[in-house]
Amino acid sequence: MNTATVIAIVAIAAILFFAGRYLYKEKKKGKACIGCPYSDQCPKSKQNNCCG
Amino acid sequence: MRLSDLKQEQSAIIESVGGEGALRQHLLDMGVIPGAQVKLIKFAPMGDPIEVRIHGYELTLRISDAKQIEIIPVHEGPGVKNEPDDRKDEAEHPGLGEEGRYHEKEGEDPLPEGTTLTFALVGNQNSGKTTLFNQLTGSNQHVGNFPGVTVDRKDGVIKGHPDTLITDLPGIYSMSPYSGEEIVSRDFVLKEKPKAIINILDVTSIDRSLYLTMQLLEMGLPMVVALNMMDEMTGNGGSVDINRMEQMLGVPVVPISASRNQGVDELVSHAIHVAKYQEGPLRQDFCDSTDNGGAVHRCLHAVSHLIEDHAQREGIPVRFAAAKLIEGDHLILRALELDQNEKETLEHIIIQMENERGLDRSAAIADMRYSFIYKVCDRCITKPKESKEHIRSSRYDNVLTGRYTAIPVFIAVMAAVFFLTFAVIGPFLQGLLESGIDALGTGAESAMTAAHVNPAISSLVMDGIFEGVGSVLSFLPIIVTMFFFLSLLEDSGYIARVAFVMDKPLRKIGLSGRSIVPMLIGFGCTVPAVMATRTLPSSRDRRMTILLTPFMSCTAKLPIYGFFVAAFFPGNGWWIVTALYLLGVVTGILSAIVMKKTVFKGEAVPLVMELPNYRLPSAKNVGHLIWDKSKDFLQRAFSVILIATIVVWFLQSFDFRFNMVADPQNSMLAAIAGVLAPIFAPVGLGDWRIVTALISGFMAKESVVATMNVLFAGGVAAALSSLAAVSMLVFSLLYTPCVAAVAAVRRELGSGWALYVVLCQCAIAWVAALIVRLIGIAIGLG
Repeated sequence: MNTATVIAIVAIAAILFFAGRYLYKEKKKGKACIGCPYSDQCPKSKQNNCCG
Repeated sequence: MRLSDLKQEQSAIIESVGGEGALRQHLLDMGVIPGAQVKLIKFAPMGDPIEVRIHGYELTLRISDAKQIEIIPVHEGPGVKNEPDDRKDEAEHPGLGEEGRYHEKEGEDPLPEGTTLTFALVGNQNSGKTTLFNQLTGSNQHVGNFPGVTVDRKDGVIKGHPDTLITDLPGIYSMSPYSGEEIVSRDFVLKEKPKAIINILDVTSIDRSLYLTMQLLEMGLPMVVALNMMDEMTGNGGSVDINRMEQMLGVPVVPISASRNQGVDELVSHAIHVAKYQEGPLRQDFCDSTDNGGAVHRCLHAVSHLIEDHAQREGIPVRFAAAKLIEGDHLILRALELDQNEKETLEHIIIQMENERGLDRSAAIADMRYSFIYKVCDRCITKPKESKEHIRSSRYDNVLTGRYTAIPVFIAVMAAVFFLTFAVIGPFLQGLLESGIDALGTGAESAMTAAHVNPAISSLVMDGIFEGVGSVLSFLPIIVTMFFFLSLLEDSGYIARVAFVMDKPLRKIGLSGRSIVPMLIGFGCTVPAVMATRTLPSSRDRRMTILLTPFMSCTAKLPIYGFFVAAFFPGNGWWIVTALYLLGVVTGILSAIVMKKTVFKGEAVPLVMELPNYRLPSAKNVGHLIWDKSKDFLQRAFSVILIATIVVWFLQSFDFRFNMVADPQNSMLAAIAGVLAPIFAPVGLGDWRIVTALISGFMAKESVVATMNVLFAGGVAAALSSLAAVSMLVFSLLYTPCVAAVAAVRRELGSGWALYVVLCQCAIAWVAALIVRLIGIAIGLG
């Protein structure tokens, strides 16, 4: 395995790490649907569900 | 004579308001009360609904509801007096909610240090609550110029005051909730008991706005009144005697302009003061023993005494509970747990009041409140001349809601939005971004080849990341352009007019004009569209609208359309995409007709809605929206879509023994997706790669393109026929919405309906794709 391959693997791993960390942090915030810009409103809405 | 018989531009005095239930209460709360002057502005294009002007604002009503309102025609008169009678005796500054010499130390009982001061931001719809919330907290919550932008509470800390928490609530017209999101506001004030209320009023329609203020004062909580849009009021020659209004209401009154950040600091200092020292309103009793023989006054006080012990036990303000009981609020009646004798006594007191006053209970209470409001307005308000904003709005409305021009203009506006998005601005910007991504990809590939990077890693970067994420990224400009135009429609005030214009056509398919608002939002994203249905007052309309919004093609599907158009129909993008949007709308209409005749029998609820003045969309708001949408998209592309792309690349590059395969047909992904492929074979999509792409689209629609780019390394045009591409476009348009949208449906309607949406839309998509394929084969395309 040459140096360039190692660098490429490290770069991919870094990108994956940051993507994974973002997903983890969003999940920790309690977001139900990660990637959905409106997901932060979901948990509160459950309490106020009035349509049943 | 009835309101429905009034001619255009004719005025009348309301004699009685018929009907029953929540709608009647809502009309009374909106100021449609006996004695109020009303003017018919215009009929909607198909003769129904009508637009009337009452208490200085525009209200829409259906003809059938207008028939319930008895009127006496009058010649245009001054109505409510414009000039105050006794402005000579200048009112002293009461100094409520202020420090210094106004604050009496004796008897003060401040909250302990460190207590979080909680505030509820309460006001009518479209009164500027969220604009003020953004100013107070430094947030960038979405604001719009139509009633019902905020459908859920939002919390924030006031800038510079870390021990505060302010909650922005959906707009309400009274404490008698009419629609779902209004219950959120009432429950928050009643049950969560904030330390103080900031009541924001649109000063340009202050008569109606004060109606809610009076009910909030009855709650006895510390409160500050913020008179918003004072710049507009004074700019048109109007003014408010703040000192006198403060005296009459018994709470601090602060003039502000939320959009210009004027008066906001003063508002904050008053709000913190009343919250900290728990200074409640000095006045909660607005009935007068001399008003119309004092029948309502005696009734209110008698009921207050009757229920005092029950109200105190339940923690409900006595005066508020008494007024609500007289109005017939069953939630309060149940909460108070009166015994049979007390219930009968209550009924006798109310009947006696009705007999003496000559009005029914709800109308009598509304009349009592408006009588006090008229006094406040007479003494404190110098009404402005007709505002520039209103004159401009009326002029625009001659065309935009004109009888013969409204619908053609609506079609032209939507066509212009699509044309500019898909044929002019979007493709131009997309081309620029694509060039950048291509250059980056070429550079990366050359560099990796030159550096002899391992072929598997090189494949992952080029075939996985660049092909997948890069292809999705290039659609960012089109998506942002679409959101830009939708935000212009929302901010300008046109979207409320669309509800007015489209009410009658929508009623034919069982919906009300208000349903068009969530549907238009659905062209941006289904999730906020589903949430926006909370403004619909009936459960039937709300459910039906929620089930129909996924048929409105969201922006996340644009990359799919763009991908297939570029591969199979280059140069025809604009009309193919427009045709797809129309197909979605037509399918929605057909589904609505079926629903109306089966699960959702009955009629749509009345359209009672305020029409705001047109406003120039704020560059700051639009800029924020574009930034937010771009940020959301990039975050999604580099998180969910990136990981999905890499997973797909991995599964299609290796077999079950984790050996890299030369032909993806031998991969583990081909084996897994191949199980489902036969289901799609009849519609011409029986390729395991297509099945994989569609499944990935359930997570996020943009993933369909990312996955296809990874799986169809040689280009999709070589692997599929044009007819299969059309089938794929139709299936993608109509099949299940993404998981976030399904979760939103589940939250609003429950798991059963969410499952129904997934299965039903997949079935509809499959049938539609099959029909398209059969037609294609019949005309010799297959």
